[in-house]
Amino acid sequence: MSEGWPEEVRRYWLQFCDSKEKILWLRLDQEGRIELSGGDWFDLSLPEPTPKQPLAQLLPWLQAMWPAQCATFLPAVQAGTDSAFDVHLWPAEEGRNWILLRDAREELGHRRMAAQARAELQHWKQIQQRQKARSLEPGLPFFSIVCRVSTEPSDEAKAGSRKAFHRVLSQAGGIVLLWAVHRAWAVLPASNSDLNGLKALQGIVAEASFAVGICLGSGEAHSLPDPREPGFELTGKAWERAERWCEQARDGQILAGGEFPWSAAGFDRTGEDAEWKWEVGS
Amino acid sequence: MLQKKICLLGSPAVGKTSLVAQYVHQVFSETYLTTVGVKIDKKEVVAGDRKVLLLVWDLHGDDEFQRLQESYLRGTHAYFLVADGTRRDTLEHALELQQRFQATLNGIPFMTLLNKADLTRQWELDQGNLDELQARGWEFQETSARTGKGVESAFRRLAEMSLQS
Repeated sequence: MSEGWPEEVRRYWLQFCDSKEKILWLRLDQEGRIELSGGDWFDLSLPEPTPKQPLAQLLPWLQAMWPAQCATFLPAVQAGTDSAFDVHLWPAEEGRNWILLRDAREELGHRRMAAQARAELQHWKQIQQRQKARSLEPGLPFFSIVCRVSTEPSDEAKAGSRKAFHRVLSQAGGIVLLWAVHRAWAVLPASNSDLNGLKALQGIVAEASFAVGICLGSGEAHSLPDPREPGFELTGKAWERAERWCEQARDGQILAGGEFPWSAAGFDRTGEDAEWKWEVGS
Repeated sequence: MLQKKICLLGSPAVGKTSLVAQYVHQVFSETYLTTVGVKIDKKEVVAGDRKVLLLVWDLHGDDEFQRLQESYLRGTHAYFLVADGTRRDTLEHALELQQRFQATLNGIPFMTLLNKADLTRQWELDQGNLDELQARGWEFQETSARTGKGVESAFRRLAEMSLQS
């Protein structure tokens, strides 16, 4: 039966015979009408084909692929809410065509999970690269910020805190460059007009019990060479100092470098009653 | 009724599926769900004075891990090249896709969609990019799958173009 079949189809057929997967098949005449058919169409949420029925009527989405000039494989075709097929078409004798539909619903679920994870990783990497390009524009002063999430009871709460931190930074024109385990590395524009960003940061630090270190100067961020581990390696004195303050800060506290009071003084007083406070390191 | 197969091509996460969802079902979801394989939807449109059934093939995004198979494009009557206006590299990738599938897509009408037009603050495309598209003689349109801006008109225009192919 399989004599003259393309190798790809033959191999696929053998694999199918070995499994318990559901399959539908059709043979079309030279006019694209159904000559032969098989399989449980109802079980795969498709109408039962009738002899001489045009393909355009039974599977309108497949019409444009007919007639097949060579063996054609279309993986993971979803043409309805409840169905997914791997589709094979190949020419047979005297202008006829074979069509084989293999139920791919279960497999699609696994493939979707893998693809989703990969796509999110890739998308995240792209966003980070773009953010890096924007954040490290030469000549613009930045605060380097290192934030520690140290008292979160659950992953869900931690995710909520991350989201809040991200939101506050974004609203203030800042960028979170990297999240790693319990820490965030971020930059915030340091021009006077952006001091509101620091003010916003005060609120979130007190509310979410973050421990934060801040230093003037953005240091440098280098993209990690391994594409499977997207992210940045942050170097430079400003980062090192910000990390040191972060390490020393208690939950809900911001520690800043010695150069900081000139910019922080303007709103330091507004936080007198809050739980946080600015402390100047040496 | 006349049937026309149209495809959407582009990088992952440029909004192809969202454009189709907006056009066919008038819905938009903020959740990003990657497309595996191809999702086929249909919608009736009136193009010129003819009723046309559009079979919309929403293809998975093409990237280094998941290359688009040329077989999906067979029998296409018209197609969209979709780019994300907030990511310039997706426009470059769309141009590359058009080149890669030149053999199959040669002579088939198409339109470039610059999606996510609602994200104006993050927009990365500039006049230079648009000038380049114009210099190539390509039709393009800014769209927003979120707000629906330009979506209906783009599909209608592509349906008209498909009648000429």
